[in-house]
Amino acid sequence: MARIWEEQRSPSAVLMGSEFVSFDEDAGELTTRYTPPPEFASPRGAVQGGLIAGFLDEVMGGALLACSDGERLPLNLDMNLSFMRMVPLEPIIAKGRVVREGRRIAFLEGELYDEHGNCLARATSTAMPTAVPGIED
Amino acid sequence: MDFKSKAWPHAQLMGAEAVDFDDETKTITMRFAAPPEFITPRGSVQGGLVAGFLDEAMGWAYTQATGGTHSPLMLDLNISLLKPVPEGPLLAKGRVVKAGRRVLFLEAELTLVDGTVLARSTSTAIPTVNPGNTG
Repeated sequence: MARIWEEQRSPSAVLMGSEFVSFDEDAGELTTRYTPPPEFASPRGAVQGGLIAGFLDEVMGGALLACSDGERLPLNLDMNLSFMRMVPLEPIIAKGRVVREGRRIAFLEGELYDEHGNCLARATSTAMPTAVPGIED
Repeated sequence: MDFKSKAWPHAQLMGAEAVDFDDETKTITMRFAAPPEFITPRGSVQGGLVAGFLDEAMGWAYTQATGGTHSPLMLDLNISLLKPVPEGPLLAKGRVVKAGRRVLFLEAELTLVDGTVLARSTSTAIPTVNPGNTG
């Protein structure tokens, strides 16, 4: 099977300049690089807070995809975000993990880091794992 | 109403437009248009990016409530995703729940044009001088 978590699998991933970095199978942790597009800029000159959730959603979803060998994607029910620092309009590193995957519900988490390793934002998500849309046939 | 939101890149991307601000309830109504770049393989807006619309509505509710002098710097954001958000026109209502001197509590709801609720959010923020207030 194609390792689709290593690809830009949707318009949203293309928009965010998603680039696969690594997947640590033991830790169940996916690392991805994103390049925020200039359209994400707020008047503060950094990424608008809500749109920061886009990167975190993407990396958490990729983590479930990688952990399930490309079989399941999360349908998010909620997302909780903490914004520790401004997210600059330059490449950032995201890490996503599956905290627990049950039959009906998955718990996910993720963080964003700048190039110096400073944690910029964190997220947790409660989601329903579903088949990956569009690859059933 | 005096509203300069659309000048900013992120607001342009989301097609943000203010419709109305009710000073009594500190509630702003905004129109958005979810762009095709926000879509996932499910055919709807990526869940995280839904927060972009909600953030905008909450932020402008507070900015309008201060007469444009201040805007919120968000510390956290919690969203509930009730239904898939389609590409195209959307409405949002953002409200200032409580504006203290040091901390703000905000909330928002994202709906279809017919009023069907798609997502909700709350945020804790701190007030800052509006970085976009150039006038």
